[in-house]
Amino acid sequence: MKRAQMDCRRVQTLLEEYFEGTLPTRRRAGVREHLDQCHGCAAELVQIEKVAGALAAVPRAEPAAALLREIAARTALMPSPSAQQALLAGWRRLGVLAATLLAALVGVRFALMALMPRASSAITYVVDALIRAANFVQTWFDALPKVGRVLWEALVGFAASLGSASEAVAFDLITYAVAELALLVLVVVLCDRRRRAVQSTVTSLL
Amino acid sequence: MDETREELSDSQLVQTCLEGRTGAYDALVARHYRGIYNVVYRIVGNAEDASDLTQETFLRAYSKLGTFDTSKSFLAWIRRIATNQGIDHLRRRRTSDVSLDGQMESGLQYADTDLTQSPAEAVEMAEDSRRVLAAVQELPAKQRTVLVLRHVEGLKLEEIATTLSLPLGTVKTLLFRGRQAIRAMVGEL
Repeated sequence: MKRAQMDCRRVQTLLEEYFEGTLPTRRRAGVREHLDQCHGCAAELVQIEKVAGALAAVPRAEPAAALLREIAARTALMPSPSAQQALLAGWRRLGVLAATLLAALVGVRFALMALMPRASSAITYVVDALIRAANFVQTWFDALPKVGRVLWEALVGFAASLGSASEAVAFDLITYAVAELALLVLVVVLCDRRRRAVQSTVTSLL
Repeated sequence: MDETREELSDSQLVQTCLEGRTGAYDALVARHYRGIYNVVYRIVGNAEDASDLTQETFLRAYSKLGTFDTSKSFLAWIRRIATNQGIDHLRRRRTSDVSLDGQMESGLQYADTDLTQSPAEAVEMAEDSRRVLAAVQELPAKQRTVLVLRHVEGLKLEEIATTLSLPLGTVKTLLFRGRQAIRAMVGEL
């Protein structure tokens, strides 16, 4: 069966592939056959070849003589690849360790929840109590400057009424220390009470 | 020691460097910096930028040397880094600011001088190259890079696809469109 002749339009779309040698054999033969007979398409191919040839003939550029030295100087300031690898390996080990630990904690937590619902709720309570205690302490520490400022203003007024700066400062310091101590005792007592409550709950549960 | 390094393959030099003898990397740089400089130079079209990007390419490769697969080609790997740097640079710069006439007048010699050419033919070829190279600088970054890799560096289409992490079909399209655009810009050669 005779192959149908390709027209110019079809050949033009295939010329680039023809030039690259990426056309399938039959299609390549069809283009070749057309090019043998069509001067216009053959001239197009010559232009493609000339573009490629002109690019291939582009001169090689010579880099500045200092380039090699500059690269060597800059790499000398960098950590060596072996050191970087060791550092990377260290971080990876740490990551694996952290992931394993986390997985183990989650596993223990779920195991406890499954096996000992009461213990699990006790653990939840402990964690909750710890968070509350931390929040409580934090609140008081946040409030301390405010209390201090109020006391300071009161003491300044008191000092002014006494008319003695040194006495005012001494009184200020003492009052401030007593106030802080009182707050600290209060925090400790509250924490201890909460600790006892937690302890008794855990004991009763276990 | 240098003579011994000359005899080592790229992969062996990388391995030596990874074992702590970092001087091996200098040998790798000395072996490839001209080639990498040329690839980058033809992509960005500017000697100063090409010099900076060549430095950055080798520094980046040094910092990532531990990730290099020594069963593969170091040149292909570093060429990939270099072309990516070139393309990124063009995207940042957007427009070309280079005078290619200046390059042609800087006393550069043609690498593949055809001894069968007459002086007149050689001059004509140089003029064609100058016009085509000027047209290349007007192309979008990826078309330009593909043309440089294909015709200036002589890479196969598959190698270009690997270098640029592009499908083969995309490389063909970029190449064909690039050549067509050049023909449209330059006219008859």
